[in-house]
Amino acid sequence: MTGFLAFTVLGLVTGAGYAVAASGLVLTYSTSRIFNVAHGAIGMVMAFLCWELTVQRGLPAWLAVLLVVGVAAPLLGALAERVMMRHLAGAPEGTTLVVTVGLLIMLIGAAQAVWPATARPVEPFFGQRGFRVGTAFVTFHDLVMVAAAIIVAGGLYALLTRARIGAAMRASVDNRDLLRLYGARTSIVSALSWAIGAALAALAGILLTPVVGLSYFDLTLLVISAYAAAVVGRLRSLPWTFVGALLLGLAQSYAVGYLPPTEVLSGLRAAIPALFLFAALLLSPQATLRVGQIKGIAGVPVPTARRALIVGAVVVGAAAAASLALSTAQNDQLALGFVYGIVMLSLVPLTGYGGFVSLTQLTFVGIGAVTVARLGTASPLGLLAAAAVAALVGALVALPALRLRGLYLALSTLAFGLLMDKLVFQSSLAFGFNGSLSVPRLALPGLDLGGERAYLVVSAAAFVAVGLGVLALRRSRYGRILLAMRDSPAGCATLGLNMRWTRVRLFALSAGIAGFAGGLLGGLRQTVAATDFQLMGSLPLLLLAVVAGVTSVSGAALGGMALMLLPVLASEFPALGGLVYLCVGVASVGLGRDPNGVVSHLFKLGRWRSAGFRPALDPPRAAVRS
Amino acid sequence: MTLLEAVDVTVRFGGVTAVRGASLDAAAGHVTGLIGPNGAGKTTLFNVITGLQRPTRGTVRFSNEDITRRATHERARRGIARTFQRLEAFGSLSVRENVLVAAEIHRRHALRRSRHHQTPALVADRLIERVGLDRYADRPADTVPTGIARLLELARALALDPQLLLLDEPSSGLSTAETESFGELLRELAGEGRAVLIVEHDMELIMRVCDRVNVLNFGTVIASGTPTEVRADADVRHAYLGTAE
Repeated sequence: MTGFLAFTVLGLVTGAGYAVAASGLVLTYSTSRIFNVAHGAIGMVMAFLCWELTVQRGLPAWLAVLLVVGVAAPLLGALAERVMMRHLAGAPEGTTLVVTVGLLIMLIGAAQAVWPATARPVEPFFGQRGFRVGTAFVTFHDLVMVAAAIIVAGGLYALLTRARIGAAMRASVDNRDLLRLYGARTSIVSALSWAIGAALAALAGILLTPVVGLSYFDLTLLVISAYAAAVVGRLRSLPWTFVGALLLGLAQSYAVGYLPPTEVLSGLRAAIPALFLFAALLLSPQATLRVGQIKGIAGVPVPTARRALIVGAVVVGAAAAASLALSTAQNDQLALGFVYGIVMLSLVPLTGYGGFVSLTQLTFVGIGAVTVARLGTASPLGLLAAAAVAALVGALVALPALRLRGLYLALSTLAFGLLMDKLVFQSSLAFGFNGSLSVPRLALPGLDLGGERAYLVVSAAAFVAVGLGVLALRRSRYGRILLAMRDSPAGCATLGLNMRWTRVRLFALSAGIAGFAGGLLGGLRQTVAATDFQLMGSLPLLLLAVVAGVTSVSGAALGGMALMLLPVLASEFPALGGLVYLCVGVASVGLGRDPNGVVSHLFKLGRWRSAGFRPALDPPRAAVRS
Repeated sequence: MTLLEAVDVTVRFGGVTAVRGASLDAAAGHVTGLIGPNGAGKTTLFNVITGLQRPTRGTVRFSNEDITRRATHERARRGIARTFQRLEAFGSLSVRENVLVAAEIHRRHALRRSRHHQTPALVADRLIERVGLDRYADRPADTVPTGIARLLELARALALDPQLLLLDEPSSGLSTAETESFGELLRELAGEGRAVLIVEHDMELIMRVCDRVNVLNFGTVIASGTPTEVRADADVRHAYLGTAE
């Protein structure tokens, strides 16, 4: 019993920290309809800044916190709103998600550039001083955390219900244009909500740093706990969000206290926020179909089968020619680019055609690699098995999330990725704790693929084959159905389409392609470890896929090569490392205007040239509204 | 023969009652009109019939089967098709592809019931010709004018070869001449044995094509009968046409 009170206090205190973070998330979402994946990353950068001010510059803690939470964070939030988010009004949910993923990656890149990785112990406020409550010891830091949560709760309540600007904030969700007609300055309303959201993220980050540690990724992933709490409040209700945060804090604390410390269970503890998020998503009520919109996304032109075949043959031929000229390492790099390209291709049907976002595509790649490693076979059947196992897992992920809207579905992929990171990949089922697996390289009867040249050609051929398959899919009945489902779910339902199964099949297909790529990747690297497939790696992958062009096969090729080149550039020119991230982030801003990515501009260039530089051939694609 | 019966349907959104104990039926071979002032609950009733909105109370029966708990896509497979007042065309697809995708979905699920054993492509081409969309067939659906998009939704609904066709303000955005031929098309569709239920603000069109008219006001059916009867009804004049006389 002595422990119980202590764990309860610890749980409530952690929960208070989550509540502060989650309320900021709910505020920005409910006023701008943009779900900020970078919420935790903002808190992370601000926690680093606070450390810089106190430890490096010697400012008193209260002043540093005041400067960071009161000045730096709101400025960052307002800036992000002004530069990135404002252009996203009315953009599809997938696009807004990806743009905030871009912000997340930019922030991590910036933090790594400014504060290189090193151990940075962080003292709680007031050190370890505190007082006893019965059998539990409460530090003053704990007290500050709970007080912060209470003040935030009261402040937000007063703001949203009492203040004029708060009413405008709530109204801006329903109809921005109407609000503008009534004379409210919507840009200020939206900037303010982002400023407050960022300040709350900063506060939560700083408060939780002594618990979590000053780490780029752990603080960024703290956002999963905030999501979980926010989902309990259905991204709308602040009181329920607070309840969710406290429940999550308690669940985590009791797990630390009462679960026996075996290897599997210690993974389970780390996965509690993700499990909680899953549970909250499953229990949330079914989304109703929304009617009243006509949406379309002008896709890039789909090449004819003949033309695609010719281009594909040229690509394989070029890869074969290049293989002779390149060094061993360069051959491997280029092959890696093609394999990444296949991973990007797995996103084309899912995100490009279907409009669904998977935040954890690398996890499926990992499943494919593990499958081939465990089978230990070099036969092409191993690759098929990799695709099949990944497809099955993909379908299983989509199954419970069937009832959910796009955003919740994306969040459930995030929870799934984290669960795989913490529970499965670290277990003896897959790589084992800090372990790695060796993967046999593909062998075809009568062909020697052991050399790097042959493997490059095989990778290129595999990319072309999958690419042709994706194009055939786009031209098929199923491809039309995917676009129709993205444009109008209600329209599809009234035509007799059961969207649940269409969605499960789509997720399975996408995961299957990623698993196939995983088998190839394993064969290329020949040794793979859990760190190759972490959730955090999936985010740049998604971002690059979308920035390069997730609606086309050419975009996937470009994205694959870019993903392969990024680390190369970063290691060759360390100074450029952060800059590259910045460029990718900036490019993501353009997505609000053209969801077809960079590659569509290349297509347009080609068309202008052939049309004798006559731009604007297409009539403006204004949405038709009744 | 009565094909559709909505009995005592009530829909509440929070504190607002959009539909209050409304009953309505539609017979095969007839054009049934549903009129009423804005906000009377017409579209909500359509959403209840197609399963996009679950009623707080009441039942929907179709071909003598209770379909109140059926999902939208199951109702569509039983032969209920609709168009939307606020358009739901597939903007990324061309006009032809919009109809084609409907024909393809229909072919997969309703082979047994289908009357036209033609390829989906042929079905789509014929329907595009029938509603007069030839000129727009290859245009992306989000670039065509509103009136054309409404005709596109009609063609898309017809691709299901429906027994019951629900049309939500189909004529707004059409010219006078287009409305004229649209009325003829409606009579033709009823002549094929379909039940047509139409929400419309164009009184002239309603009076010309409907066999029966129901009047909805504040979520309640206040009158129903032939166009002539309804036109003469005092309540209707009061609620809908105004009290000018």
